[in-house]
Amino acid sequence: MSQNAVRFLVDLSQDPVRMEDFWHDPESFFEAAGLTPEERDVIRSGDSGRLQALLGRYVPLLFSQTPKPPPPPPPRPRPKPKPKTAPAAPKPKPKPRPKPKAEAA
Amino acid sequence: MPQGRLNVVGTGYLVAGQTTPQALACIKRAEKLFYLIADPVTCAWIEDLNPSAESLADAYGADKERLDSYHEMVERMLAPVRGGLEVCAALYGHPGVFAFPSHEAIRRARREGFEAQMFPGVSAADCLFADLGIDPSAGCQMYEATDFLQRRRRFDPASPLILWQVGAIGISTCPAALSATAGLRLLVEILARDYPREHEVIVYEAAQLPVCRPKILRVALAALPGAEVSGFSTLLVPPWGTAETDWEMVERLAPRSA
Repeated sequence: MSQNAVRFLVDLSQDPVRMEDFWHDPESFFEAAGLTPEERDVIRSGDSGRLQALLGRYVPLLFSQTPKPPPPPPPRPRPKPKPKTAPAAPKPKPKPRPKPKAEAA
Repeated sequence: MPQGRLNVVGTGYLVAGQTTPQALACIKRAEKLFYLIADPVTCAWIEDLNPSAESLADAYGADKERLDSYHEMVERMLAPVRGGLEVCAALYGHPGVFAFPSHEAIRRARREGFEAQMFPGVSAADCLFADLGIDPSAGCQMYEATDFLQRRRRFDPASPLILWQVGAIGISTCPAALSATAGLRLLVEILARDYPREHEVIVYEAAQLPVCRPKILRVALAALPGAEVSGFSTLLVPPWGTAETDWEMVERLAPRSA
């Protein structure tokens, strides 16, 4: 990548009006910048693959990373079932209350 | 307060054309300059502006977790700050948008008692708003693509949805070549729950050289896994449908006469 090509692209990037003028008359801009025929051809194409081959590779630098979430907590252990016990002895039935005697008329 | 200072700036996306005057001043005056820049032309320009310039890109590794790379970058940035120098770190785009190492370097520098400041820059979203004619005043949602999938983010399909690093879904390192297809298939599976499969989405990349045009690739959602998506790509999912109006709230917000 020549210093002329770098300077050419830096200058063009700083002035949007110059950028538009370049598209109307690229040859006069190339001439003023002293670019080689190969550089002119590649820049005229605007092809990113050819530009990378001429200027060097673009490296997508990823600045953000989503960390893996922590593993979910283990499931709660099921409560142990209560042990079966022998049925309690039945309670004795209460004695019936004696019926009151009917009063004489 | 100890001597030593950290300034973090962004260079935008178009070589020198989107570098603010603030950023340019910080870059030129720094006693030690670090940079994380994707294109070789801007790298050459930066190195010409400040001979102390040092790239941090070698902290990445194909088999290295990016978080480890970021922590290494932070320590490299802070070492000369601790030595009493005025340090500048220049990242492409906006230095604080989807950028862990810049924010972390500032947090640590301030915790250690050094002055540290971030200056805003031109982000990929700013370029997207300009190139695609999107006005975020109607709502705009932005997520990192892997985060969007892992955390089941709730979102409104009636507002534009921007997904960052969509070419690196599920990839935690920084490999030389990214394969986006598997991650994109998962993304389509999730998005298809809220959008029709024929809904047009846009794969966007800001122009990085003044002789290039931005990449604006319009594809149907279902065709996204087969589209040309790179590590520079951002996905825009345009709105589907319109948000419901709360007429009672419209009434409550109406201006009252005195």
